[in-house]
Amino acid sequence: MNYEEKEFDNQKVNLQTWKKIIKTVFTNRKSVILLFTFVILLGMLEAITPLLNRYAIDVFFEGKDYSTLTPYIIFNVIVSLLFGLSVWGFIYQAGKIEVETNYILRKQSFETLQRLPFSYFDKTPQGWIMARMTSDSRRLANIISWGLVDLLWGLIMMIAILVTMFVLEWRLALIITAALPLMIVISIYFRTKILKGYRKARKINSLVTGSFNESFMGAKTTKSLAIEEENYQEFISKTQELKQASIKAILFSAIFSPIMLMISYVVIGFIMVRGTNMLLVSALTLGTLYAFIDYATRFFEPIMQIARILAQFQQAQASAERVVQLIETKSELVDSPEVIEQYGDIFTPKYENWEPIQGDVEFKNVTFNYVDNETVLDNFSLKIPSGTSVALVGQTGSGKTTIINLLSRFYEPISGEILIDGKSYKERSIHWLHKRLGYVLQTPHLFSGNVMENIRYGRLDATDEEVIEAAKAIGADEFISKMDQGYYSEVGEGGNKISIGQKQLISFARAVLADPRILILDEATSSIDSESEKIIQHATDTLLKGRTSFIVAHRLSTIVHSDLILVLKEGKIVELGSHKELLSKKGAYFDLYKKQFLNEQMDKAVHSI
Amino acid sequence: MRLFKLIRTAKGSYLHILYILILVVIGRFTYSYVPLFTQYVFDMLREGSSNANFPSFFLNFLNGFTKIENLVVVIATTLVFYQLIRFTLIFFEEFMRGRLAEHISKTLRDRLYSHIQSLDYNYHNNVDTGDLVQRVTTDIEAMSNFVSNRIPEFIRLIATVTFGAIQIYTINQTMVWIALGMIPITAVSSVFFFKYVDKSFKHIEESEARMMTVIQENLTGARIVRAFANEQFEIDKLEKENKSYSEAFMKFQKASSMYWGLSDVLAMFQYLITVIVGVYFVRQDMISSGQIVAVLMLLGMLIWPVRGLGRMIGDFGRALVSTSRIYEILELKSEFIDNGTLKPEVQGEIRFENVSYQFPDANEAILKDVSFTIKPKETVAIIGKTGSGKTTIINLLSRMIDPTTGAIYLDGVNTKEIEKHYLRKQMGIVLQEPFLFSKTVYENIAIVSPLIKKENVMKAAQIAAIERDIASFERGYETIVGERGTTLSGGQKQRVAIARVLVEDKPILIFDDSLSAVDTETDLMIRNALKEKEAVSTTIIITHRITTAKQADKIIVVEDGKISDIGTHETLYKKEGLYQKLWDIQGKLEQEFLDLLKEVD
Repeated sequence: MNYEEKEFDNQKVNLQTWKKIIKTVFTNRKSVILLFTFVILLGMLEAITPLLNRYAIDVFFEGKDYSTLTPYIIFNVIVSLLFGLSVWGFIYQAGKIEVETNYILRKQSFETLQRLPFSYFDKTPQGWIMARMTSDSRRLANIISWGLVDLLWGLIMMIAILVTMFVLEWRLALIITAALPLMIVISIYFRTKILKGYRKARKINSLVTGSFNESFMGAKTTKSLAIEEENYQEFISKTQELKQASIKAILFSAIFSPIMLMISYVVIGFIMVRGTNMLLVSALTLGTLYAFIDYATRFFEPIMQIARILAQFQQAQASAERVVQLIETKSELVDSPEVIEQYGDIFTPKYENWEPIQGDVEFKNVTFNYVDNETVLDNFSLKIPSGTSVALVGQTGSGKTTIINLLSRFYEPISGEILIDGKSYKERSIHWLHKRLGYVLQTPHLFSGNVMENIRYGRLDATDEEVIEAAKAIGADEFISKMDQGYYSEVGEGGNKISIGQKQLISFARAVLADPRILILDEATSSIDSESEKIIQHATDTLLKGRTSFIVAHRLSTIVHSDLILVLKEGKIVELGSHKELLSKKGAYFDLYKKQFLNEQMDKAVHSI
Repeated sequence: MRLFKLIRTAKGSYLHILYILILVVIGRFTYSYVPLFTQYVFDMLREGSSNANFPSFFLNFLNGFTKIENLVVVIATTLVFYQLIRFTLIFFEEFMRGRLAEHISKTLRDRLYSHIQSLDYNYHNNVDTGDLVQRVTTDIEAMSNFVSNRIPEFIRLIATVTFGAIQIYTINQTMVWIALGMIPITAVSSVFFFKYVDKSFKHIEESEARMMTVIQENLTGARIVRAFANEQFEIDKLEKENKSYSEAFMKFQKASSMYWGLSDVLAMFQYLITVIVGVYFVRQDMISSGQIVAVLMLLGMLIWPVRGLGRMIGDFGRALVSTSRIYEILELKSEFIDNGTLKPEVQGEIRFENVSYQFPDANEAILKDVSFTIKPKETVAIIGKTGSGKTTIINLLSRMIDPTTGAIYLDGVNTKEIEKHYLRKQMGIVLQEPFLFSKTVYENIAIVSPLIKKENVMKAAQIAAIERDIASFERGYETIVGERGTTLSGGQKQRVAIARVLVEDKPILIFDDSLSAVDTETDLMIRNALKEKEAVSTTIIITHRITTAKQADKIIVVEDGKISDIGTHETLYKKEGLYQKLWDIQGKLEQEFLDLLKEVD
């Protein structure tokens, strides 16, 4: 998959993609039909308005026949009201379709995302996903509703005007029609040019914004290196480039509409001359001449409009493809049909068929790699009886996280299998496992909302009392009670209103509430003061008690207290045993212990004096 | 006065703006004559004469054609050429407006960039960069858009209505009141509608932000969502926000369909009333068919633009808000206003004399009466707890901030007398959290000057022990790093930042806890490689690792903003104090370790 922004490529229209998007729009068939009705009505009304004036001129002003004045007024009022109605109706319906399309695209994308395994998020930049769900879906919804309206309106109006004109006086109609091809060619030419120009300008603009951002982020570095002048010179060359590109785009767009208007006035000139000649031999009424001049000024706007829409569709092509791509992403990790049959899927679990879990875990000849040819785990085997705490120790890239990812079934082994209670976990549903799993992250993730909601995330049906009990068990109750609103205090976006230590405790409480049989703990590396250290230690003990646990361990006390320590190197177990056993071996664990932990203790000591 | 500031933004372009406005007025003035061509033709056809409001020379010229067929050809040709001139003017107006917008944007961008760079350390320490980005993009756009588009647009509206009204007035004095009757209603309703639009957009944006938070947090917490099997819960959460966003959006769509529908009916009624009154006047022989046609055409010109009045007023309000947000920055004082002038040759002797520093918004000084001297070419370690004031010492030395009291001397010269850029150029400072620019690794190392020799870059990379890492990148030195490129680890960033200050020989080298993210072995490697550089530069190393401090010629111990001790390792570890405590802990840990081993054995 390629995550490069392809927005600036000029692409051919891909009908397959648009068909899918249009299908989404058509989910609300009623709105679409209403919309089309209103637009067609509007297009026709616009085409007949000049006829009303024609009638007034010919009958009232010229013919001095006022007998039909009252019906004329009534008819006019009806037309005005219909006009208003159709404008209201099409804006309302198009707006509704825009809102609904936006809603559906976002909903579908989000549901797909929830179905995807964690590995997808490992590989896909978050910004990429966010952009699909914000700007892309918004742009698509906008163009699909208003673009279609304008397109349809333009076509209807052109056809209606053409038909009316030919019915009224085909000789004058021919003059207008003659200019049509020229106008279409010019419109397409300029629209493409303008679009390209603005795209280029926008691209440079994003670079300029990037430079701004960088200068803010790196302000202190810039000062310490004293490179303000160099940065500034680089910046003004970018803004200069932006200015030139923008002006070029403006040039084309400034020239476009005068040219189109000019052509329409040449047409009007011809109509005046030809019309007058016909009028003099009484082949034409004054009202008709007026109507034709009116038509000539109205006729060309839809062409410009249609050219604009087509250009926009072309531009939105990339957005459409990316959104469809996201919605249609297939999960690489799914339960087999038989498993779903028995256990249900994540949205409709069949709890009645779920067997309880003991917590025995076995890795059997597991081999795994993220990218081809780069084996991370090689023929890895390990048997852990229920209730054992396992500390995983080793350098970055040694395979600690991989073991945890595999155990959590965020990924599956390439070969070999992982057994839970003696049965391969593929024979049960992903959901079954996740419901039994507790997970505490080294950088705890909190959701906007209050403390209560965040703890309850561990088990959604827990009562307030159960939540508070969990917090108490972990030793978080004290600080939570001291907060402004206690358990109902907001934690802020991503939990930014509380400290990291407090976030950790909340995420511990969350896991306690979930009461999982298997617990995964990804410990924080950052050093903390001794007071917090004690609290965290207590929390860890509470959490691990009686559960099968896997700990990516960084803190000495955690490692020392685990039942089993695995020292990993390049995806293999190099040592395995208890703290004392391993130290006496004076091997890898001994080295690690000496080098890493001694240093960390020193760092901590400085902070704790 | 915000308005005054907004106008001042276009300083240097006033003449340009004036031309644009003149073009706008001329454009509208000439436009109001276009319907008269039709009127003239119709009058000539029906009445045989016309009192169309053309200049007399033109009327006289036209009177020269007696045959109506020829007359119409002349009229039509004139109309085409007349429009050709008009469209040329319109083209120039549009083009000039666009150029003006770009000019103002560029000027503002450049000015802001330069000014923000010159704002002092404390400003950058506290500023919300997201908000700043917002200002330099959206606010600049709003300002330049206002000057180059909204002002001309407003003038155009006024000119359209004025000239249109005058033209109708010359045709028939009573007609003008009838034809313009609905304009005030349209204008007022437009103002109210766009006020509503503004308000509802705020709602839409707020609910969109809430929805974005749900999505964002779901993505960041992808692991947690799955591990607790809360996918359905998340879907429901989004559903709620997605719905409320859609509702807010739909409310706006409803209002706008109402407005445009009603205002169209209003405009159509205006036409109808004009036609009815026209019929009455024609019946009384007060007006010709040609005239009534001209009135209808003029009406069409001015009735539609009035509906946009509310948008202009709304934009004006927004532009004023943007102006204050931009000027809020531009009016802050540049740090280079208090600048020295001296550029002395630097040996590297540093002396702090009773220096205290207190942050502007703090209750207590972070540094209190600090005095010490560092001899040229000496290597000094500053050790102390987080928040004890170590970094402040460095910031004072490089004049990122100036002492509240006391003075700092470099080779006996008060640093306040020295030109700031020059002063900083004498120092190679590696910050605690260095920033790398979105350039290649090579450009980042050679960032201080494009004239740096290639071998110096290589050498620096070697000393900083980043060479092997660079070789492992797919594109080596040409790898782009930073925001839009490869993400480097914390340790790699620190090492590139070290290499960056080593490409040139600096009299003073400063490492502010620069090896904290580097593992102990590499730390040692770098420090050994640096020995050579340390011999020619005064070197200051801020650290909390006692093993690092131990090797320095001199150790300065900082506690709670005060210097508690200065000495060498030999003298300090024997004296009671922070250093000894640290040393003891080190010893104790080592002892504990030994005991543990014994126990194991």
